[in-house]
Amino acid sequence: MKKAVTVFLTGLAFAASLFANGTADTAKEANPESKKITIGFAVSTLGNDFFVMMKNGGEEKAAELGVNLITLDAQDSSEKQANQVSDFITRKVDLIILNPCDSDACGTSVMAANAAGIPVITVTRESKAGKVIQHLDIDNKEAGELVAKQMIKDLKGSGKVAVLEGIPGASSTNDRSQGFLDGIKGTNIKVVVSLSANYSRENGVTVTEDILQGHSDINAVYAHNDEMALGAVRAIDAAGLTGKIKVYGIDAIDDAVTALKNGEMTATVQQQPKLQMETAVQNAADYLRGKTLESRVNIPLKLLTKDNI
Amino acid sequence: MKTIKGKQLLQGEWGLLLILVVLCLVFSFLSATFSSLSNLLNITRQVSIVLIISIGMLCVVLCGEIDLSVGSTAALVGVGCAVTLKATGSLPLALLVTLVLSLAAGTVNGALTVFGKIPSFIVTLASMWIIRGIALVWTSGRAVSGLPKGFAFLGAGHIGIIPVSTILCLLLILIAFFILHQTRHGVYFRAIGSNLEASKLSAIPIKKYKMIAFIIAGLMSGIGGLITTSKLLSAQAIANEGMEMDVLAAVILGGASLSGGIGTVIGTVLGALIIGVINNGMNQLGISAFYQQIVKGSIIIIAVLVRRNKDK
Repeated sequence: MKKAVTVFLTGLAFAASLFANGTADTAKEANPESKKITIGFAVSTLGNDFFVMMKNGGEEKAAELGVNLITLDAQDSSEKQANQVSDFITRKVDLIILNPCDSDACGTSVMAANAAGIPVITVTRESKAGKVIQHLDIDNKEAGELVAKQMIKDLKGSGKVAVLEGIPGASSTNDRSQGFLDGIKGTNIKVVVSLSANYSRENGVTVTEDILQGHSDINAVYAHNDEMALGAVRAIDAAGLTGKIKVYGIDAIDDAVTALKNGEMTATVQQQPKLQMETAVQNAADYLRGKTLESRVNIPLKLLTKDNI
Repeated sequence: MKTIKGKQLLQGEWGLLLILVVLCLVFSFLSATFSSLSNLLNITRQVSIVLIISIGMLCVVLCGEIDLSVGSTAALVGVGCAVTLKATGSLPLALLVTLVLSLAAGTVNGALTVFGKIPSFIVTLASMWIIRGIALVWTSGRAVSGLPKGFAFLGAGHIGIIPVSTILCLLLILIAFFILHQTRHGVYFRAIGSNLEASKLSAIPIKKYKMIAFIIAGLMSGIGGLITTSKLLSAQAIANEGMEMDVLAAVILGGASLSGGIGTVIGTVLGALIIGVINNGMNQLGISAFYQQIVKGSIIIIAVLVRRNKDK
């Protein structure tokens, strides 16, 4: 009940501010303490569950802190997003949280906000241009380390591993690889073969088939994402080796969670979109109330296994 | 006249066979596992999808046309099959959807080219996007999973030690060989591609044969999509992306001419096998992804050069 009232009041205040921007500004100057903060959230797409979870987390946090959060959905179009950011600028929001559709294309929007004196926080994707007060993201190295830690536990510190790499040269590929290698350093877990399967399920099958020809004695497969891990599951199943080879992925997509439940996969790593946006809104409010922010925040990741789905 | 032409073709194919054998010898020498029976069977299973679609492409290319929508068609058919199978649990119904979608894609491509008089490159470039788009809209971009385990038989199962998809592929190759090399239909396909005017004067039903070629391409893409879906036990709208390039590479490496009239089933099979062997062999050797593309591209250039010299 209380929440509904808050939401209603927030909505009302927002509507009022739309119609009476000028009045609100004068009121603000007269009494800066009672000023209601308005944050614009430009999200890349709400057609993806990941960003819907993000939006919900942000709205809950905003209600808790008593700030307005206006969300505009760019439907994955950089052009639409640029227009939406300029709408936020004309509307004189206090701060913009930007989830860029594209790291390069959003640069001009960030610079426009800079010119208008509106601070910008970016989430999940960075801006290549302009000034941003904070960027919130995940650390792909940490994802690799989490997998390594779980694997060391599962294999009791020794075994042979095949790695399915992501798109060659992509930063996520390099980081997910490095984190894992750092994680298994000093143990008897050895990477016997490491090949790219381009983050794709189809390639995951083919490359795993090839790997199993020469290395059917591996104990585990570490895939840089769940798509490839699910491909590996199919190839291992076809070779009749299910249960003998543990499969690890990253991303926690729905099919991977199902595979965890069925025992076809051993672990995956989940991002926490809700926590990411909650943190962004909290930090935005803190900044507007005079705190200084760190330029980058890594949102912790969560390892999923059969036991904690 | 005829015997000379036959001999020339044979030489081209002998050249390809030589390249294939040399590649196999090199990989066996470098890798302990490459030449094992299980890996050789593995290669035949891996190339089966590209090879089946290549047969469809060969028919289209022989007529002097091209079909760039094969990968998209395979994806759409896979999605249709998986959605139906999941919703109804009926395999016959899923196969019916597979058949209908494949024929529809081929018919639309053919009709727009033949009756709409739009170059097939443009028709199929557009339908490549449209068909992929339909698959994406249908699935909202998400994988269709949770198919019954028994469905994996086609793409991942074996009869004895031979992969099921290898057997299916072999069967289709034999049928294609018979039709394209032992009947007048094959002669017509070639005639249309090599000399359209002469074909018109000889009263060859050009429109009918071009339509048939596109429908065969649609059907073969559909079968490819069916095997992919079975192999992954799930369907994705983004599956088989870039397949048209692998298929064209196999067909052209196999000696077919993009301007039509020239090309053989055996050449196409050898072309697909060469590419399959390169991919597999490099994985067996654990060659890094950075080098794999360079090696693959270089071997294909060398192969075409060797084949051309043999032709002379």
